[in-house]
Amino acid sequence: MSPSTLAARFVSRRRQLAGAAVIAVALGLLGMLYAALAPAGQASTSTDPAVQRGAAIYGQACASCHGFNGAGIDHVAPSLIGVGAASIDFQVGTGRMPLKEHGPEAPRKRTQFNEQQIRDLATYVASLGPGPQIPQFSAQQWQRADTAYGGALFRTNCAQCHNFAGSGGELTYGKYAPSLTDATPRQIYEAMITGPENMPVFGDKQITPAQKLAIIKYIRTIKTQADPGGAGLGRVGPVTETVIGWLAGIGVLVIVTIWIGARA
Amino acid sequence: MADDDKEAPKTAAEAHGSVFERAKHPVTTSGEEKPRGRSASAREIDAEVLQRGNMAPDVPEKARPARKVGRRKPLTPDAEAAQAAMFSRPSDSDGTHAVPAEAFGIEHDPAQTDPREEKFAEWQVSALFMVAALAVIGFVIAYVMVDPRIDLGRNMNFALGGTLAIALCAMGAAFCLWAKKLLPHDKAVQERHDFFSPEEDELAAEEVFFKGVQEMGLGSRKILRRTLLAAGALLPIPAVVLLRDLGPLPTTKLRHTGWRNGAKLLDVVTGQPIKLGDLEIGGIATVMPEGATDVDTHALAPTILIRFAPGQIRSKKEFAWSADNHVAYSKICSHAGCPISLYEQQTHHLLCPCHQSTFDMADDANVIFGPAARRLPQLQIDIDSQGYFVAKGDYKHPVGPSFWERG
Repeated sequence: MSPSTLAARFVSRRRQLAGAAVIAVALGLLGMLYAALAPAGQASTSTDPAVQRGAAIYGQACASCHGFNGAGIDHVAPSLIGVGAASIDFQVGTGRMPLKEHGPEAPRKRTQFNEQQIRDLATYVASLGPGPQIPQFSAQQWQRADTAYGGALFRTNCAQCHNFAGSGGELTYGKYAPSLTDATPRQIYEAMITGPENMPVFGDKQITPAQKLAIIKYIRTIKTQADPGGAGLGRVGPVTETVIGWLAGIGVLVIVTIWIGARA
Repeated sequence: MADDDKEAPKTAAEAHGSVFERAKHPVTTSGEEKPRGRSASAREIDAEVLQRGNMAPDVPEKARPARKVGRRKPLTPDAEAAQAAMFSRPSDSDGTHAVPAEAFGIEHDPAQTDPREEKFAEWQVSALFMVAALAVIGFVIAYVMVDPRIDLGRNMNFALGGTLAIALCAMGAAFCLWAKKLLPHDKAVQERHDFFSPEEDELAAEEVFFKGVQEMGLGSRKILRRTLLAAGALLPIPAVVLLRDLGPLPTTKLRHTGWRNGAKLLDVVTGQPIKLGDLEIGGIATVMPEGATDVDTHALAPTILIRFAPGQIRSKKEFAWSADNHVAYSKICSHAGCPISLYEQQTHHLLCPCHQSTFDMADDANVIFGPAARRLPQLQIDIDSQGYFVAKGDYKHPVGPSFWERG
C-alpha cells in the first residue's frame, strides 16, 4: 500500500466522520428548536414539585377529556385554564370529576384521590391560569359567623334550587341541584365562588366571605338540628308526612283489609 | 223477563248465592217468596244490567268474573243441601237460623275437639295478653325514665310509640287467635227488617202535617202569608249587597311597580346598591328598587339581575336594554306569580318551581317550556357615573300574572 493511497483513505474516513458530526449537530439543534417552539408537553416546565406531581396526575386522569395543558377539547370537555384551584378541589374532592359518564348532571361520588393528590392537581391547574384559590378561614371567623343572617341570605340566594333545608331539588331537562348534607364547609364555599355546572357564581363582592361563612354555618346548623318526633323525611314538611301516611300507612291497611276479605 | 222468571230460585239456598239474586227474588229465610217492598234494595234489576255484569242467570259459569273480594265462594252441593235443610226449619223469635259450621263444610279448629290443642291455644292467647301487659308497663317505665329533652323528645317518642304499638298489636293478635281457635265457627242468618215504614205510619205523618198547615191558617190569614213572603224574598239581599267588597277596582296599580328612572338596584337582603363588578359572569342577584317602601309598589318590584359573558345575549332588544352584559328581569312569573330564580348559568334557563315554566334568559326570557304564556318583562338598566346599576324607568309591561284588563 503506497503512502498516497493511505492518505486518501484517511481523508475519506475524516469526511465520513464530518458528515456524521453535521447530522448530529443538526439533530441537536432541531431538538432544541422543537423544545423551544413546540407547546410544552405533560411534563411541566415548572420546578415546583407539587406542580410536577399534579401534572402527572392530570396526564393520567384528566387529559383524555380536557386535553393537554387543560386546553379543553371541543364538544368533549371545557378548558381548565383559569378555573382556579378552588374549582379543582371542589370537582375532584366531591368525586364529580373524573366524570363516570356523560349526563345532565355529574353526581357526587367517592373521590379517587387523597387530599395530597387533589392539592397537587389543584396547584397544577392553578399554574395554567389565574382563578379562584382554595378558600381558607380561621376558627375565629367561623365563630363570628351569624347563623340567622346566613339563613336569610340562604333563603334568598340558595333555597330556590337547593331547598330551604338544603336537601336539593329538580331543575330543567334532568339537571338537579344536589343535596347539601354531604358537602363540607370548604366545598360549599368553593361551589359559591366557582359556580360548578349550572350553579350561578356568587363572587366575594356580591356575597362577602363573612356572609358566605354565615350561609355555610346555617347549612351546617340545619343539618345537625334534631328532627322532632322521629325520622326527618328530608324536612320537606307536612306534605311528605301526609303522603307517606296515605300511601304507606293507609295503603298497607287497605291491602290487609282486602286480604282479610279474600279469606273470609 | 219471562226467561228470568224461569230461573227464579226454588229454595232459599239457591237465592242465597248472590246479592243480585236476592234482590231480584226476595225470599224469607224459610224459603218462601217475600212480598216485594218499596225499598230501593228490592228494585227490579234490569236484565241488561245483569247481562253486562255477567251476572245474569243464563251466563255460563266460566264467563262470570273470577271470585272477587266480598263475593261468597260457591257452595258445594253437600253444603247447599245441608244449608237448605237448616233454612227449612222454623227460625227463632228474632227470625234467626243457626247453621252449624259443618253444614258449610268448614272444619272446626282442632282446639275445639282436642283438649291438648285447646290448652295450647289458651296458652298462646294468654301469652299474647302477657306481652301486651308487659308493653304497657314498659310504656309507663319509658315515660318516667327516658329523658324527653334529648333530640326534642326523639327517644321518648320512639319508646312510647313503640311500647304502645306492641301492646295494641299483641291485644289484637290475641283476640284474633281466640276467635279462630276457641270459638265455634257456626253461622247465624237473620232476616233483615223492612226498610220502609208501615202504611198507617205514613198516613199518620201526612195527617199531622196537613193538620198543622190548617191550624196555622196560611190559607185564611192573608196578612200573615204576605208578610212571610216579603220577609222571605228579602232574605237573600244581604248576600248580594256584600258583593260590593269585591271592589274597588285596582285601576292602574297593576301596571306600575316601585321602579323609576335613576332608582339604584339594591340587594334584597343586604340593602346595598349593586355596583358594576359585584356580580361575576354567570352570577345572579335579587334586587329591589331604591326608595320603594309602599307595599303596593314593593310587591311588584322584585327583580333579578343576571350577568352574562360577552356575546352570550342573543336577543337584540335584550342587549339594547342591558348594561355591560347585565340584564334585569322581573322575578315574578308571568303565569301564576311565583318568585322565580332557579337560574342555570350554562343553559341560561330560568325555571319556575311552581309549574315548571322555563324561560331562556339569553333570548329575552322567551318561554321554552311550561304554562307561562308571556315572556318575563325586562327592566331597562344603566350604569351611573359611580358605577352603580340604576333603572332607566319603570317596567314597560305589567309584571306578574295576566289580569282581565291587561289586554
